[in-house]
Amino acid sequence: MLKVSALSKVFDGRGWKAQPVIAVDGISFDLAKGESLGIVGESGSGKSTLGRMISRLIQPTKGKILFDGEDIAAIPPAAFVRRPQRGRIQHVFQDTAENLTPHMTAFAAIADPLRRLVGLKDVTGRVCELADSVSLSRDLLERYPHQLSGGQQARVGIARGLASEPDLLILDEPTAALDVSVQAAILKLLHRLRIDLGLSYLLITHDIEVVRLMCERVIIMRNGQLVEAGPVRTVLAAPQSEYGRALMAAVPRLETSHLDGQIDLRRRQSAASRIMPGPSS
Amino acid sequence: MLAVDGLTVHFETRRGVVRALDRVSLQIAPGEIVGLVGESGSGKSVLSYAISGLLDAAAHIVAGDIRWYGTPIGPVREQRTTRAAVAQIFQNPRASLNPIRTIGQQLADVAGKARVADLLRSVRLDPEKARNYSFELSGGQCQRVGIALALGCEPELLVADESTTGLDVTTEAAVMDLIGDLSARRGMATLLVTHNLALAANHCHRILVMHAGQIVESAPVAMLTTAALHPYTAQLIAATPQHSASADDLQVIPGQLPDLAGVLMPCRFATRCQRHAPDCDEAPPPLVAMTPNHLVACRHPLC
Repeated sequence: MLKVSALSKVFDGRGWKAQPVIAVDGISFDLAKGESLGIVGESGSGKSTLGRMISRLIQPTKGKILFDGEDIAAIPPAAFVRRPQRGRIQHVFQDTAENLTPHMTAFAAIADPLRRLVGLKDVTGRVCELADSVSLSRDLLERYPHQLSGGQQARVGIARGLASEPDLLILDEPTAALDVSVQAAILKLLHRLRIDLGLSYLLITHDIEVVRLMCERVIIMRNGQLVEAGPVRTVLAAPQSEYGRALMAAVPRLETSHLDGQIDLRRRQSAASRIMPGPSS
Repeated sequence: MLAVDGLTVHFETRRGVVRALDRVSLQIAPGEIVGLVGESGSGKSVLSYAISGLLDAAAHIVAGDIRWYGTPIGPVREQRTTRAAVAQIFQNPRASLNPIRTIGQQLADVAGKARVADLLRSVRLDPEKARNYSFELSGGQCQRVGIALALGCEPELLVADESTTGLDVTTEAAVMDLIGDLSARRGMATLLVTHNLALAANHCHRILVMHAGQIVESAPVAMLTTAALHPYTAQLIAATPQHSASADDLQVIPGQLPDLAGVLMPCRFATRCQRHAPDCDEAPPPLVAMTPNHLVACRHPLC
Protein backbone atom coordinates (compact mmCIF):
# COMPACT_ATOMS: atom_id res chain seq x y z
CA MET A 1 0.00 0.00 0.00
CA LEU A 2 2.77 2.41 1.03
CA LYS A 3 6.22 2.27 -0.52
CA VAL A 4 8.82 4.84 0.47
CA SER A 5 12.04 4.97 -1.49
CA ALA A 6 15.22 6.96 -0.83
CA LEU A 7 13.28 9.64 1.06
CA SER A 8 15.41 12.52 2.33
CA LYS A 9 14.87 15.82 4.06
CA VAL A 10 17.48 18.54 4.36
CA PHE A 11 16.60 21.58 6.44
CA ASP A 12 18.36 24.86 5.78
CA GLY A 13 20.40 25.90 8.77
CA ARG A 14 19.58 29.02 10.74
CA GLY A 15 21.80 31.78 12.07
CA TRP A 16 25.00 33.36 10.77
CA LYS A 17 26.98 30.12 10.51
CA ALA A 18 24.09 28.33 8.83
CA GLN A 19 24.75 24.72 7.93
CA PRO A 20 22.14 22.49 6.33
CA VAL A 21 20.76 19.79 8.64
CA ILE A 22 20.21 16.38 7.07
CA ALA A 23 17.22 15.18 9.09
CA VAL A 24 16.28 12.12 7.03
CA ASP A 25 18.86 10.54 4.76
CA GLY A 26 17.65 8.16 2.04
CA ILE A 27 15.11 6.01 3.93
CA SER A 28 13.28 3.21 2.08
CA PHE A 29 10.62 0.83 3.38
CA ASP A 30 7.22 -0.51 2.49
CA LEU A 31 4.05 -1.11 4.46
CA ALA A 32 1.24 -3.48 3.50
CA LYS A 33 -2.46 -2.97 4.21
CA GLY A 34 -3.30 -3.93 7.80
CA GLU A 35 0.36 -4.04 8.78
CA SER A 36 1.95 -2.14 11.63
CA LEU A 37 5.49 -0.82 11.34
CA GLY A 38 7.40 0.66 14.25
CA ILE A 39 10.01 3.38 13.82
CA VAL A 40 12.35 3.68 16.78
CA GLY A 41 15.37 5.84 17.42
CA GLU A 42 16.64 8.44 19.87
CA SER A 43 15.40 12.02 19.84
CA GLY A 44 16.83 13.84 16.84
CA SER A 45 17.11 10.67 14.76
CA GLY A 46 14.63 12.03 12.21
CA LYS A 47 11.76 9.65 12.94
CA SER A 48 9.15 12.40 13.44
CA THR A 49 10.33 14.21 10.29
CA LEU A 50 9.90 10.96 8.36
CA GLY A 51 6.34 10.57 9.65
CA ARG A 52 5.50 14.17 8.85
CA MET A 53 6.80 13.80 5.29
CA ILE A 54 4.51 10.83 4.72
CA SER A 55 1.48 12.73 6.02
CA ARG A 56 2.69 15.59 3.76
CA LEU A 57 3.11 18.10 6.56
CA ILE A 58 6.73 18.54 5.52
CA GLN A 59 7.89 18.75 1.92
CA PRO A 60 10.52 16.04 1.17
CA THR A 61 13.79 17.15 -0.40
CA LYS A 62 14.28 13.97 -2.42
CA GLY A 63 12.71 10.58 -2.86
CA LYS A 64 9.34 8.99 -3.53
CA ILE A 65 6.31 8.17 -1.39
CA LEU A 66 4.19 5.71 -3.38
CA PHE A 67 0.71 5.39 -1.88
CA ASP A 68 -1.31 2.79 -3.79
CA GLY A 69 1.09 3.27 -6.70
CA GLU A 70 0.87 7.06 -6.91
CA ASP A 71 3.85 9.20 -5.91
CA ILE A 72 2.29 11.60 -3.40
CA ALA A 73 5.65 13.27 -2.74
CA ALA A 74 5.33 14.87 -6.19
CA ILE A 75 1.99 16.51 -5.34
CA PRO A 76 2.47 20.13 -4.16
CA PRO A 77 1.20 20.66 -0.57
CA ALA A 78 -1.49 23.13 -1.71
CA ALA A 79 -2.93 20.59 -4.15
CA PHE A 80 -2.59 17.63 -1.77
CA VAL A 81 -5.32 19.05 0.49
CA ARG A 82 -7.92 18.39 -2.21
CA ARG A 83 -6.65 14.94 -3.20
CA PRO A 84 -8.51 11.81 -2.06
CA GLN A 85 -5.29 10.57 -0.38
CA ARG A 86 -5.51 13.47 2.09
CA GLY A 87 -8.23 11.73 4.09
CA ARG A 88 -6.72 8.27 3.75
CA ILE A 89 -3.51 9.17 5.56
CA GLN A 90 -4.03 10.65 9.02
CA HIS A 91 -1.57 11.85 11.61
CA VAL A 92 -2.10 11.50 15.37
CA PHE A 93 0.19 13.97 17.07
CA GLN A 94 2.69 13.51 19.83
CA ASP A 95 1.47 15.82 22.55
CA THR A 96 -2.32 15.97 22.51
CA ALA A 97 -2.44 18.70 25.14
CA GLU A 98 -0.63 21.02 22.75
CA ASN A 99 -2.09 19.76 19.50
CA LEU A 100 -5.79 20.04 20.22
CA THR A 101 -7.00 23.54 19.50
CA PRO A 102 -7.74 25.07 22.93
CA HIS A 103 -10.88 26.92 21.85
CA MET A 104 -12.47 23.88 20.17
CA THR A 105 -14.53 21.45 22.22
CA ALA A 106 -13.92 17.72 21.82
CA PHE A 107 -17.04 17.63 19.64
CA ALA A 108 -15.75 20.40 17.36
CA ALA A 109 -12.31 18.77 17.14
CA ILE A 110 -13.80 15.48 15.94
CA ALA A 111 -16.39 17.18 13.70
CA ASP A 112 -13.78 19.32 11.93
CA PRO A 113 -12.26 16.59 9.70
CA LEU A 114 -15.76 15.20 9.05
CA ARG A 115 -16.82 18.52 7.55
CA ARG A 116 -13.55 19.30 5.75
CA LEU A 117 -12.46 15.90 4.46
CA VAL A 118 -15.63 13.83 4.31
CA GLY A 119 -17.99 16.68 3.45
CA LEU A 120 -20.67 15.68 5.94
CA LYS A 121 -23.29 18.32 6.78
CA ASP A 122 -24.94 16.69 9.77
CA VAL A 123 -22.04 15.39 11.83
CA THR A 124 -23.65 14.72 15.24
CA GLY A 125 -24.37 11.02 14.73
CA ARG A 126 -20.93 10.26 13.30
CA VAL A 127 -19.14 12.21 16.08
CA CYS A 128 -20.99 10.15 18.68
CA GLU A 129 -20.06 6.93 16.86
CA LEU A 130 -16.41 7.95 16.77
CA ALA A 131 -16.49 8.88 20.46
CA ASP A 132 -17.95 5.44 21.21
CA SER A 133 -15.30 3.69 19.11
CA VAL A 134 -12.51 5.26 21.20
CA SER A 135 -14.46 4.70 24.46
CA LEU A 136 -14.84 8.41 25.11
CA SER A 137 -17.96 9.16 27.13
CA ARG A 138 -20.45 11.28 25.13
CA ASP A 139 -20.84 13.57 28.16
CA LEU A 140 -17.27 14.74 27.62
CA LEU A 141 -17.84 15.95 24.05
CA GLU A 142 -18.81 19.45 25.15
CA ARG A 143 -15.59 19.93 27.09
CA TYR A 144 -12.54 21.91 26.04
CA PRO A 145 -9.10 20.21 25.96
CA HIS A 146 -8.01 21.71 29.30
CA GLN A 147 -11.07 20.15 30.98
CA LEU A 148 -10.02 16.66 29.84
CA SER A 149 -7.45 14.31 31.36
CA GLY A 150 -4.39 13.20 29.37
CA GLY A 151 -5.98 9.89 28.44
CA GLN A 152 -9.21 11.57 27.34
CA GLN A 153 -7.24 14.05 25.22
CA ALA A 154 -5.43 11.14 23.57
CA ARG A 155 -8.79 9.55 22.77
CA VAL A 156 -10.04 12.78 21.17
CA GLY A 157 -6.86 12.90 19.05
CA ILE A 158 -7.38 9.30 17.90
CA ALA A 159 -11.10 9.84 17.17
CA ARG A 160 -10.14 12.88 15.10
CA GLY A 161 -7.62 10.79 13.19
CA LEU A 162 -10.21 8.09 12.51
CA ALA A 163 -12.91 10.54 11.34
CA SER A 164 -12.06 10.40 7.64
CA GLU A 165 -11.90 6.58 7.68
CA PRO A 166 -8.18 6.48 6.83
CA ASP A 167 -6.20 3.44 5.65
CA LEU A 168 -2.98 4.60 7.28
CA LEU A 169 -2.57 6.16 10.72
CA ILE A 170 0.74 7.78 11.54
CA LEU A 171 1.01 7.63 15.33
CA ASP A 172 3.75 9.90 16.64
CA GLU A 173 4.55 8.91 20.24
CA PRO A 174 0.88 8.20 21.05
CA THR A 175 1.48 7.32 24.70
CA ALA A 176 4.72 9.09 25.64
CA ALA A 177 2.98 11.63 27.87
CA LEU A 178 0.66 9.15 29.58
CA ASP A 179 0.67 7.19 32.83
CA VAL A 180 1.27 3.42 32.77
CA SER A 181 -2.34 2.43 33.32
CA VAL A 182 -3.66 5.03 30.85
CA GLN A 183 -0.97 3.95 28.40
CA ALA A 184 -2.19 0.36 28.72
CA ALA A 185 -5.76 1.47 27.93
CA ILE A 186 -4.72 3.50 24.86
CA LEU A 187 -2.46 0.74 23.51
CA LYS A 188 -5.28 -1.78 23.85
CA LEU A 189 -7.63 0.63 22.09
CA LEU A 190 -5.20 1.18 19.19
CA HIS A 191 -4.63 -2.57 18.87
CA ARG A 192 -8.37 -3.30 18.75
CA LEU A 193 -9.04 -0.48 16.24
CA ARG A 194 -6.37 -1.81 13.90
CA ILE A 195 -7.93 -5.26 13.85
CA ASP A 196 -11.54 -4.03 13.67
CA LEU A 197 -10.95 -1.44 10.95
CA GLY A 198 -8.08 -3.11 9.08
CA LEU A 199 -5.83 -0.07 9.52
CA SER A 200 -2.12 0.20 8.82
CA TYR A 201 -0.01 1.87 11.47
CA LEU A 202 3.25 3.72 11.27
CA LEU A 203 4.13 3.89 14.97
CA ILE A 204 6.86 6.37 15.84
CA THR A 205 8.17 5.91 19.36
CA HIS A 206 11.28 5.65 21.45
CA ASP A 207 9.69 2.95 23.61
CA ILE A 208 10.79 -0.41 22.26
CA GLU A 209 8.38 -2.28 24.51
CA VAL A 210 5.46 -0.48 22.85
CA VAL A 211 6.79 -1.56 19.44
CA ARG A 212 7.03 -5.16 20.65
CA LEU A 213 3.34 -5.14 21.57
CA MET A 214 1.97 -3.16 18.66
CA CYS A 215 4.04 -3.87 15.55
CA GLU A 216 5.03 -6.71 13.24
CA ARG A 217 8.09 -5.04 11.77
CA VAL A 218 10.44 -2.36 13.03
CA ILE A 219 12.94 0.13 11.64
CA ILE A 220 15.73 1.54 13.77
CA MET A 221 16.89 5.03 12.78
CA ARG A 222 19.91 7.00 13.79
CA ASN A 223 21.07 10.40 12.53
CA GLY A 224 18.46 10.24 9.79
CA GLN A 225 19.66 6.89 8.46
CA LEU A 226 18.21 3.45 8.64
CA VAL A 227 20.51 1.26 10.73
CA GLU A 228 18.38 -1.85 11.00
CA ALA A 229 15.06 -3.23 9.78
CA GLY A 230 13.25 -6.50 10.17
CA PRO A 231 10.54 -8.44 11.99
CA VAL A 232 10.06 -7.18 15.57
CA ARG A 233 10.91 -10.49 17.21
CA THR A 234 14.16 -10.91 15.30
CA VAL A 235 15.37 -7.33 15.75
CA LEU A 236 14.50 -7.21 19.45
CA ALA A 237 15.95 -10.61 20.28
CA ALA A 238 19.11 -10.45 18.16
CA PRO A 239 19.86 -6.98 16.75
CA GLN A 240 22.46 -7.16 13.99
CA SER A 241 23.81 -3.60 14.06
CA GLU A 242 26.03 -2.26 16.80
CA TYR A 243 23.64 0.61 17.50
CA GLY A 244 20.70 -1.79 17.63
CA ARG A 245 22.49 -3.84 20.27
CA ALA A 246 23.30 -0.71 22.33
CA LEU A 247 19.67 0.38 22.09
CA MET A 248 18.32 -3.00 23.24
CA ALA A 249 20.82 -3.13 26.10
CA ALA A 250 19.65 0.29 27.32
CA VAL A 251 15.97 -0.68 27.61
CA PRO A 252 14.93 -1.02 31.25
CA ARG A 253 13.58 -4.53 31.92
CA LEU A 254 11.11 -5.37 34.62
CA GLU A 255 12.54 -8.79 35.47
CA THR A 256 16.23 -8.68 36.23
CA SER A 257 16.58 -12.27 35.18
CA HIS A 258 19.75 -12.00 33.14
CA LEU A 259 22.68 -13.10 35.24
CA ASP A 260 24.90 -10.03 35.55
CA GLY A 261 21.87 -7.92 36.44
CA GLN A 262 21.15 -10.17 39.37
CA ILE A 263 24.70 -10.16 40.62
CA ASP A 264 24.83 -6.41 40.33
CA LEU A 265 21.56 -6.07 42.20
CA ARG A 266 22.65 -8.39 44.98
CA ARG A 267 25.90 -6.52 45.42
CA ARG A 268 24.08 -3.22 45.61
CA GLN A 269 21.56 -4.58 48.06
CA SER A 270 24.14 -6.06 50.35
CA ALA A 271 26.02 -2.76 50.34
CA ALA A 272 22.83 -0.92 51.23
CA SER A 273 21.76 -3.40 53.89
CA ARG A 274 25.11 -3.10 55.64
CA ILE A 275 24.51 0.59 56.05
CA MET A 276 20.97 0.46 57.34
CA PRO A 277 18.77 -2.22 58.86
CA GLY A 278 15.92 -1.85 56.36
CA PRO A 279 13.03 0.40 55.54
CA SER A 280 11.06 2.21 58.17
CA SER A 281 8.12 0.64 59.92
CA MET B 1 20.42 9.98 56.78
CA LEU B 2 16.96 11.10 55.75
CA ALA B 3 13.97 9.88 57.71
CA VAL B 4 10.40 10.87 57.03
CA ASP B 5 8.07 9.80 59.80
CA GLY B 6 4.29 9.78 59.56
CA LEU B 7 4.21 12.82 57.31
CA THR B 8 0.65 14.03 56.66
CA VAL B 9 0.25 17.06 54.40
CA HIS B 10 -2.98 18.88 53.57
CA PHE B 11 -3.49 21.70 51.09
CA GLU B 12 -6.09 24.36 51.78
CA THR B 13 -7.83 25.12 48.51
CA ARG B 14 -11.05 26.78 47.46
CA ARG B 15 -12.51 23.33 46.79
CA GLY B 16 -11.76 22.24 50.33
CA VAL B 17 -8.93 20.47 52.07
CA VAL B 18 -6.89 18.23 49.75
CA ARG B 19 -5.33 15.43 51.78
CA ALA B 20 -2.24 15.02 49.60
CA LEU B 21 -0.05 12.88 51.88
CA ASP B 22 -1.23 10.49 54.55
CA ARG B 23 1.12 9.02 57.20
CA VAL B 24 4.08 8.72 54.84
CA SER B 25 7.20 7.15 56.37
CA LEU B 26 10.46 6.37 54.64
CA GLN B 27 14.18 6.27 55.25
CA ILE B 28 17.04 6.70 52.85
CA ALA B 29 20.60 5.70 53.71
CA PRO B 30 23.79 7.06 52.11
CA GLY B 31 24.48 5.33 48.80
CA GLU B 32 20.98 3.99 48.54
CA ILE B 33 18.75 4.49 45.50
CA VAL B 34 15.09 4.40 46.41
CA GLY B 35 12.38 4.40 43.77
CA LEU B 36 9.00 6.05 44.35
CA VAL B 37 6.38 4.87 41.85
CA GLY B 38 2.69 5.50 41.34
CA GLU B 39 0.23 7.10 38.94
CA SER B 40 0.08 10.86 38.30
CA GLY B 41 -1.71 12.53 41.18
CA SER B 42 -0.63 9.94 43.74
CA GLY B 43 1.40 12.50 45.70
CA LYS B 44 4.89 11.55 44.52
CA SER B 45 5.84 15.11 43.64
CA VAL B 46 4.39 16.59 46.86
CA LEU B 47 6.56 14.18 48.84
CA SER B 48 9.65 15.03 46.78
CA TYR B 49 9.02 18.76 47.24
CA ALA B 50 8.58 18.30 51.00
CA ILE B 51 11.96 16.52 51.17
CA SER B 52 13.67 19.17 49.01
CA GLY B 53 12.13 21.94 51.12
CA LEU B 54 10.11 23.38 48.27
CA LEU B 55 6.57 22.91 49.53
CA ASP B 56 4.07 25.60 48.70
CA ALA B 57 2.87 28.04 51.37
CA ALA B 58 -0.65 26.57 51.07
CA ALA B 59 0.67 23.24 52.34
CA HIS B 60 -0.14 22.44 55.93
CA ILE B 61 1.81 19.79 57.79
CA VAL B 62 -0.78 18.10 59.99
CA ALA B 63 1.41 15.43 61.51
CA GLY B 64 4.81 13.86 61.25
CA ASP B 65 8.26 15.26 60.52
CA ILE B 66 11.26 15.06 58.23
CA ARG B 67 14.65 14.45 59.86
CA TRP B 68 18.10 14.95 58.39
CA TYR B 69 20.65 12.94 60.43
CA GLY B 70 18.20 13.08 63.33
CA THR B 71 17.56 16.82 63.26
CA PRO B 72 14.05 17.87 62.22
CA ILE B 73 13.97 20.00 59.07
CA GLY B 74 10.99 21.93 57.76
CA PRO B 75 9.32 21.61 54.39
CA VAL B 76 10.39 25.15 53.42
CA ARG B 77 14.07 25.50 52.57
CA GLU B 78 14.39 29.14 53.68
CA GLN B 79 13.17 28.22 57.17
CA ARG B 80 15.51 25.29 57.63
CA THR B 81 18.13 25.84 60.31
CA THR B 82 20.04 22.67 59.50
CA ARG B 83 21.62 22.70 56.05
CA ALA B 84 20.46 19.60 54.23
CA ALA B 85 22.56 18.95 51.11
CA VAL B 86 19.58 18.05 48.92
CA ALA B 87 19.46 18.77 45.19
CA GLN B 88 16.42 18.28 43.04
CA ILE B 89 16.10 17.55 39.35
CA PHE B 90 12.84 19.04 38.16
CA GLN B 91 10.14 17.60 35.94
CA ASN B 92 9.97 20.50 33.50
CA PRO B 93 13.59 21.22 32.58
CA ARG B 94 13.02 24.22 30.33
CA ALA B 95 11.00 26.09 32.95
CA SER B 96 13.61 25.49 35.64
CA LEU B 97 16.49 27.04 33.67
CA ASN B 98 17.17 30.77 33.50
CA PRO B 99 16.38 31.87 29.93
CA ILE B 100 18.61 34.97 29.91
CA ARG B 101 21.84 33.35 31.09
CA THR B 102 23.88 30.77 29.19
CA ILE B 103 24.03 27.14 30.27
CA GLY B 104 27.72 27.60 31.14
CA GLN B 105 27.03 30.58 33.44
CA GLN B 106 24.35 28.66 35.29
CA LEU B 107 26.55 25.60 35.71
CA ALA B 108 29.45 27.79 36.87
CA ASP B 109 27.19 29.20 39.62
CA VAL B 110 26.88 25.82 41.29
CA ALA B 111 30.13 24.08 40.34
CA GLY B 112 32.68 26.73 39.35
CA LYS B 113 33.91 27.52 35.84
CA ALA B 114 36.52 24.77 35.77
CA ARG B 115 34.01 21.92 36.02
CA VAL B 116 31.48 23.13 33.44
CA ALA B 117 32.89 21.11 30.53
CA ASP B 118 33.22 17.96 32.64
CA LEU B 119 29.66 18.24 33.88
CA LEU B 120 28.30 18.66 30.37
CA ARG B 121 30.30 15.67 29.17
CA SER B 122 29.04 13.57 32.08
CA VAL B 123 25.46 13.99 30.81
CA ARG B 124 26.60 13.35 27.23
CA LEU B 125 26.32 16.95 26.05
CA ASP B 126 28.87 18.72 23.86
CA PRO B 127 30.89 21.14 26.09
CA GLU B 128 30.36 23.73 23.31
CA LYS B 129 26.75 23.90 24.51
CA ALA B 130 27.95 25.96 27.49
CA ARG B 131 27.62 29.02 25.24
CA ASN B 132 23.98 28.31 24.41
CA TYR B 133 20.83 29.55 26.11
CA SER B 134 18.12 27.16 27.28
CA PHE B 135 15.77 28.11 24.42
CA GLU B 136 18.40 27.01 21.89
CA LEU B 137 18.40 23.45 23.24
CA SER B 138 15.92 20.63 22.75
CA GLY B 139 13.78 19.37 25.63
CA GLY B 140 16.04 16.38 26.18
CA GLN B 141 19.13 18.57 26.20
CA CYS B 142 17.54 20.95 28.74
CA GLN B 143 16.72 17.97 30.91
CA ARG B 144 20.36 16.88 30.84
CA VAL B 145 21.46 20.41 31.78
CA GLY B 146 19.06 20.19 34.75
CA ILE B 147 20.67 16.92 35.77
CA ALA B 148 24.17 18.41 35.39
CA LEU B 149 23.10 21.37 37.57
CA ALA B 150 21.81 19.09 40.32
CA LEU B 151 24.87 16.83 40.25
CA GLY B 152 27.18 19.84 40.08
CA CYS B 153 26.39 20.79 43.69
CA GLU B 154 27.57 17.33 44.80
CA PRO B 155 24.49 16.72 46.92
CA GLU B 156 24.26 14.09 49.64
CA LEU B 157 20.68 13.40 48.61
CA LEU B 158 19.45 13.71 45.06
CA VAL B 159 15.71 13.98 44.47
CA ALA B 160 15.08 13.08 40.83
CA ASP B 161 11.46 13.83 39.96
CA GLU B 162 10.63 12.16 36.61
CA SER B 163 14.09 13.29 35.60
CA THR B 164 14.53 10.99 32.60
CA THR B 165 10.94 10.86 31.37
CA GLY B 166 11.48 12.73 28.10
CA LEU B 167 14.86 11.17 27.31
CA ASP B 168 15.46 8.31 24.94
CA VAL B 169 16.62 5.02 26.41
CA THR B 170 20.33 5.35 25.62
CA THR B 171 20.63 8.76 27.29
CA GLU B 172 18.40 7.57 30.12
CA ALA B 173 20.74 4.63 30.72
CA ALA B 174 23.76 6.95 30.66
CA VAL B 175 22.17 9.33 33.18
CA MET B 176 21.11 6.47 35.47
CA ASP B 177 24.61 4.97 35.30
CA LEU B 178 26.00 8.36 36.29
CA ILE B 179 23.64 8.53 39.27
CA GLY B 180 24.48 4.93 40.19
CA ASP B 181 28.18 5.70 39.95
CA LEU B 182 27.88 8.78 42.19
CA SER B 183 25.95 6.83 44.80
CA ALA B 184 28.49 4.02 44.81
CA ARG B 185 31.56 6.28 44.80
CA ARG B 186 30.50 9.20 46.99
CA GLY B 187 27.64 7.66 48.95
CA MET B 188 25.09 9.96 47.38
CA ALA B 189 21.56 8.81 48.20
CA THR B 190 18.85 9.10 45.56
CA LEU B 191 15.08 9.27 45.62
CA LEU B 192 14.00 8.38 42.10
CA VAL B 193 10.43 9.53 41.51
CA THR B 194 9.02 7.91 38.39
CA HIS B 195 5.98 6.25 36.92
CA ASN B 196 8.22 3.89 34.96
CA LEU B 197 8.30 0.76 37.09
CA ALA B 198 10.82 -0.96 34.81
CA LEU B 199 13.24 1.94 35.17
CA ALA B 200 12.93 1.85 38.96
CA ALA B 201 13.34 -1.95 38.94
CA ASN B 202 16.58 -1.63 36.99
CA HIS B 203 18.29 1.07 38.97
CA CYS B 204 16.94 1.11 42.52
CA HIS B 205 17.66 -0.97 45.59
CA ARG B 206 14.23 -0.52 47.04
CA ILE B 207 10.89 0.62 45.65
CA LEU B 208 8.08 2.44 47.42
CA VAL B 209 4.67 2.27 45.78
CA MET B 210 2.40 5.22 46.36
CA HIS B 211 -1.35 5.41 45.81
CA ALA B 212 -3.50 8.46 46.54
CA GLY B 213 -1.04 9.94 49.04
CA GLN B 214 -0.34 6.72 50.93
CA ILE B 215 2.64 4.41 50.70
CA VAL B 216 1.02 1.05 50.07
CA GLU B 217 4.10 -1.15 49.67
CA SER B 218 7.84 -0.98 50.26
CA ALA B 219 10.21 -3.76 49.27
CA PRO B 220 13.60 -4.55 47.74
CA VAL B 221 13.35 -4.58 43.94
CA ALA B 222 13.58 -8.34 43.45
CA MET B 223 10.80 -8.99 45.97
CA LEU B 224 8.52 -6.32 44.59
CA THR B 225 8.75 -7.45 40.98
CA THR B 226 8.41 -11.16 41.70
CA ALA B 227 6.19 -11.26 44.80
CA ALA B 228 4.16 -8.07 45.09
CA LEU B 229 1.83 -8.12 48.08
CA HIS B 230 -0.43 -5.13 47.50
CA PRO B 231 -3.14 -5.53 44.83
CA TYR B 232 -2.29 -2.06 43.48
CA THR B 233 1.37 -3.01 42.93
CA ALA B 234 0.31 -6.16 41.13
CA GLN B 235 -2.01 -4.14 38.87
CA LEU B 236 0.69 -1.57 38.22
CA ILE B 237 3.07 -4.34 37.13
CA ALA B 238 0.38 -5.94 34.94
CA ALA B 239 -0.16 -2.59 33.18
CA THR B 240 3.48 -2.23 32.06
CA PRO B 241 4.25 -3.19 28.45
CA GLN B 242 7.34 -5.08 29.66
CA HIS B 243 5.15 -7.49 31.55
CA SER B 244 2.83 -8.33 28.67
CA ALA B 245 3.28 -10.76 25.80
CA SER B 246 0.80 -8.98 23.53
CA ALA B 247 -1.38 -5.88 23.50
CA ASP B 248 -4.36 -8.02 24.53
CA ASP B 249 -2.47 -9.04 27.67
CA LEU B 250 -2.15 -5.47 28.93
CA GLN B 251 -4.18 -4.98 32.08
CA VAL B 252 -5.84 -1.63 32.70
CA ILE B 253 -6.15 -0.59 36.35
CA PRO B 254 -9.89 -0.20 36.93
CA GLY B 255 -11.31 3.04 38.28
CA GLN B 256 -9.50 6.27 39.01
CA LEU B 257 -7.61 7.80 41.91
CA PRO B 258 -10.12 9.01 44.52
CA ASP B 259 -10.70 12.76 44.82
CA LEU B 260 -8.38 13.73 47.67
CA ALA B 261 -10.64 16.67 48.55
CA GLY B 262 -13.72 14.48 48.82
CA VAL B 263 -14.84 11.71 51.16
CA LEU B 264 -12.08 9.12 51.43
CA MET B 265 -12.40 5.46 52.37
CA PRO B 266 -10.13 4.33 55.24
CA CYS B 267 -8.13 2.39 52.64
CA ARG B 268 -7.88 4.79 49.73
CA PHE B 269 -7.59 1.92 47.26
CA ALA B 270 -10.88 0.33 48.41
CA THR B 271 -13.01 1.58 45.50
CA ARG B 272 -10.61 0.10 42.89
CA CYS B 273 -9.76 -3.10 44.72
CA GLN B 274 -11.00 -6.52 43.64
CA ARG B 275 -10.09 -8.02 47.01
CA HIS B 276 -12.14 -5.48 48.94
CA ALA B 277 -13.83 -6.98 52.04
CA PRO B 278 -16.04 -5.47 54.78
CA ASP B 279 -13.20 -5.23 57.31
CA CYS B 280 -11.28 -2.94 54.88
CA ASP B 281 -13.69 -0.12 55.74
CA GLU B 282 -13.09 -0.24 59.50
CA ALA B 283 -9.78 1.62 59.86
CA PRO B 284 -6.91 2.72 57.64
CA PRO B 285 -4.62 -0.28 57.05
CA PRO B 286 -1.24 0.22 58.78
CA LEU B 287 2.03 -0.39 56.92
CA VAL B 288 3.13 -3.71 58.41
CA ALA B 289 6.24 -5.80 57.78
CA MET B 290 5.39 -9.18 56.26
CA THR B 291 9.09 -10.02 56.17
CA PRO B 292 11.74 -7.73 57.70
CA ASN B 293 12.26 -5.87 54.40
CA HIS B 294 8.85 -6.13 52.84
CA LEU B 295 6.14 -3.79 54.10
CA VAL B 296 2.58 -3.59 52.90
CA ALA B 297 -0.51 -1.58 53.86
CA CYS B 298 -3.29 -4.05 53.11
CA ARG B 299 -5.58 -6.25 55.19
CA HIS B 300 -5.85 -8.86 52.47
CA PRO B 301 -2.45 -8.95 50.79
CA LEU B 302 -1.65 -11.26 47.86
CA CYS B 303 0.41 -14.43 48.37
